Amino acid sequence: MSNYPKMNTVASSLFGAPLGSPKQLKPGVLGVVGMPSDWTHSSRIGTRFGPDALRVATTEISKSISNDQTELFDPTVKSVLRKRQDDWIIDCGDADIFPDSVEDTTESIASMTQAVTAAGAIPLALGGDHYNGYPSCLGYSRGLLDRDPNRKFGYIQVDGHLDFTNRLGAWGKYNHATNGRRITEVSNIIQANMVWIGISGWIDGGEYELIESMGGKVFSSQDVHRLGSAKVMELAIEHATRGCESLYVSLCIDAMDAGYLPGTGSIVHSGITPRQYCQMLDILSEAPFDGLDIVETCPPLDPSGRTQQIAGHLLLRTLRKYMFQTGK
Amino acid sequence: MPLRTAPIPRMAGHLSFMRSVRANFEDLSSGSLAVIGAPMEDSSNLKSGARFSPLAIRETSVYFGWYANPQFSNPINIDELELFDTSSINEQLFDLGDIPILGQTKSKADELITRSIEEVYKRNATSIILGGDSSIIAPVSRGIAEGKSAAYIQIGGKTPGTSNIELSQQTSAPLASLLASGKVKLKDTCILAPAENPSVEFIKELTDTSAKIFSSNQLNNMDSNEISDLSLTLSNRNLPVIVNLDLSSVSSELHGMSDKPVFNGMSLKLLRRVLVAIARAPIATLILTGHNPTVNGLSIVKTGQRLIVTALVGYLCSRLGLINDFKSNDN
Repeated sequence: MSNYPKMNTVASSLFGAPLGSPKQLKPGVLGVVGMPSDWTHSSRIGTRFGPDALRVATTEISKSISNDQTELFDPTVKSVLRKRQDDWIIDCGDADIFPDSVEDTTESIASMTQAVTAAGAIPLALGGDHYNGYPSCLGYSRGLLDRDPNRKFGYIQVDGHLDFTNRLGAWGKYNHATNGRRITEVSNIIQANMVWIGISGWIDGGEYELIESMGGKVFSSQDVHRLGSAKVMELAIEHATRGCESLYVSLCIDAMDAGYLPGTGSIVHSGITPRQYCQMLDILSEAPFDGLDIVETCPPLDPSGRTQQIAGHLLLRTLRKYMFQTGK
Repeated sequence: MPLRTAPIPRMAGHLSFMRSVRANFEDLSSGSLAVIGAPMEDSSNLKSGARFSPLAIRETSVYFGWYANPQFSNPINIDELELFDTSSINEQLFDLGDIPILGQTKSKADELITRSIEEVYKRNATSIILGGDSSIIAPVSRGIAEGKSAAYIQIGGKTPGTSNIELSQQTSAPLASLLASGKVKLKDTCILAPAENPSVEFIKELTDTSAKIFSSNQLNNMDSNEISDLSLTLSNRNLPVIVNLDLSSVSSELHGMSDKPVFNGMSLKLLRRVLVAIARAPIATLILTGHNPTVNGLSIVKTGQRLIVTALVGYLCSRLGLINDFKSNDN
């Protein structure tokens, strides 16, 4: 091993990852795609600063858990974690955003996640408001088909909201309340394998009926409190992976109670706690997901800065399997 | 940091409470719910800003203006999955606007508040007062059944050190001034989830009468029937019931926007349960206080107003008979 220090990248990157392009990705590696777009949110914007905030937060986390140590003990899973020395993640930068064209923005993001997926890598898209979860998933869907024309996938959305509206006022079909609905329209998703976790408060009854009629499943935040976070995630994974080998996960941080996590556009109360969210992700981290996004981190709405710290930690929990080699 | 605005902000147009109809006093009738802003605060408070709460609450409440939103016309609670029709809200819920107290002297502002509440009360309507801090409670109460006494339910907020009228004048606890004025008798009070530990002397005085006091922990262990009995008992004494809901009743870690931090307060779920249970008895007025939307750094976060509105929407829908929330309340 060389005796000179591993230098940081010239710009912040997710978990201090090396910068690169989708062309450099190898199978099994995570490819980060930033989606700094928030004009498809209907009220409180600012999530366009989310990708960079996540990069800064995760770089801090990465520094605090690595330094020169290569082995750590994780009391949560009671296991020794050995930091991987190879490049398990490459930050491909941000997709071009076109504030005057939702179609162009959609295609721009989708083309990047498609390239990542087609290379056999795992797209990790950073929002942005939750609309961007749709183009991210759209590109993932196309990338899967590039690899295998018969490849289908299931879907888990952790969220305070269903995002299943067909149209929303002045924003039409493409906005942060419709992404779940749009994803049902991609060709190779199994609609019956779609699962929502963490829904709080009032929702539209017609949308709920539609999800039920297509065989989807909804776990409310109350279900998480009642059944336990680990159990809910186990049930969700079981449902979402029936008869398919691929799984896309959309992590909307607003599923978390606003008292803990205020820096997001559409806050909920009686949502899930940070501990519950982490416990779910500990289970999810072992699931066979091969595409994911994390959305709605809105730094301007949280002067304390804890929102991006929590969101970064959620990513750490989700990606443990990739970041570390585990062993007793 | 500059924020771009969306093409048509969701908060566009008149920011009436829950997009309810703007109305005047003469539009009210028996059974109406009248939302009124009372943007007033005591200048001796350590922190300023509660007077901005009516605007903040209205702004947040438009998220729940379902009947004005064609994309969201069939609301159901995710936990109850009971579809309810909101089309009748406009026939029962009205927003009368803010009482014009800006720039007035304290005595004149108090008088305006009292006269406004009188106008609602004499039409047999219920007023929902968006405070303001607790200094609005006394003038609001004077507008309820002038010259007669009333029952008082306090949720959160300060408690007086004693019911002794002379001594209690030394505290800013709203109950003290109500007792001192004779508007409320100690035996007709009920205190839920107080934000401060009451003095031993005050507890003794309470228990010597038929007054009730319950902590948030005790409420958590009570079923909805027990809680509703509290308001029904007071109402059965043929007294108009005044309810003060102070944000300090809710644990501060959930919002951070009350001037009085409390970390063993109620959850949103418990607060909603309490409000729905209390709604089984007729209430003359519900006074919201203790929310300061300008707390440093939190003015853009809006957790406090969202929490209040979420609890209030549950209460209103139950009160208006739109949902049968009572049975499912204990689940």
